[in-house]
Amino acid sequence: MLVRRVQNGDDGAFTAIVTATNGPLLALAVRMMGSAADGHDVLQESYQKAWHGMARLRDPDVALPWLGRIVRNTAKDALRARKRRRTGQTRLEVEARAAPMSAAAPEPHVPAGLLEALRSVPEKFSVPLLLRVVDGLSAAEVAALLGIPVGTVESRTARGKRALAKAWRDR
Amino acid sequence: MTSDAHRATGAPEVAQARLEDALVAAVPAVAPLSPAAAAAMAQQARHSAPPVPLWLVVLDDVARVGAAGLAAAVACCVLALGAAHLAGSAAALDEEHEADAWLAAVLPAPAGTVPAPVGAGTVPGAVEHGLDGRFP
Repeated sequence: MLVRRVQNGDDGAFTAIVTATNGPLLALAVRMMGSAADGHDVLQESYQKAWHGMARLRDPDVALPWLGRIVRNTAKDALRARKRRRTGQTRLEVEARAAPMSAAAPEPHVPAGLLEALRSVPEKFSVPLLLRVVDGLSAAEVAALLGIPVGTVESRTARGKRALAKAWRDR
Repeated sequence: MTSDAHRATGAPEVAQARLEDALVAAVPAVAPLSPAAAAAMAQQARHSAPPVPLWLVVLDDVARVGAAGLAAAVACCVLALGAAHLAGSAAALDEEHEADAWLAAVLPAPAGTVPAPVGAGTVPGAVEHGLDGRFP
């Protein structure tokens, strides 16, 4: 309904869409980018693309998967651009920028090395794991955001846990 | 950690829960935007310029310069690429010769052989094999 209103020229409806979707979309962007600042930038750019492309969206019911795909593609482009920029940087500069995930000081009871172990888990498994366990999204929401079936979300989350446990044990 | 916790508690589900608790404690959850921030982001999106596809830019350029201009541009590109390739090949050959010379000067000659003269293309040890110490 909101998408139809936007397509009919109701600007206020777009604000309602942003309000309703920014939580899971921001979580997706942050988990893919590895930092809150980069996640916000990706989300901003994604909403701009969505605004200009919403007139072409034929099925309003698929708005969240459509927005999720825009965020994923925007994040991938940003990651590629970041990789290109970093080729000329020193290792210290790269590590300084890679710090965001650990920037928030862990609580005292958090086992040492957990964040390092998490970084070693492939993104394919760590992103669903973080979205499900840390951000509290449902399997259906994660499935819509990532464009994969619910069963795949569950299996990747489980594999993410096993990979994290192994990385933590082997560190 | 799962196996560690499992050993400590004897229950895999407890180990999973502890792993999840530790993960939640270590990684801050992403908080959604405030309504005001969401409204500001929506406003920025509405006022952003539409992204222009690259193919549209290329088509526009082609239309402006015309077919003849495009053909000339392609020819220039081919010539430039050819020149770059030749320059690159020459540089690679120079580097190869320098590397050969450096190796010949640095590598010790095998015992009982006459050291090959230092210079481009010399091969230490080649004399004992009846060769003249130079690459063909």
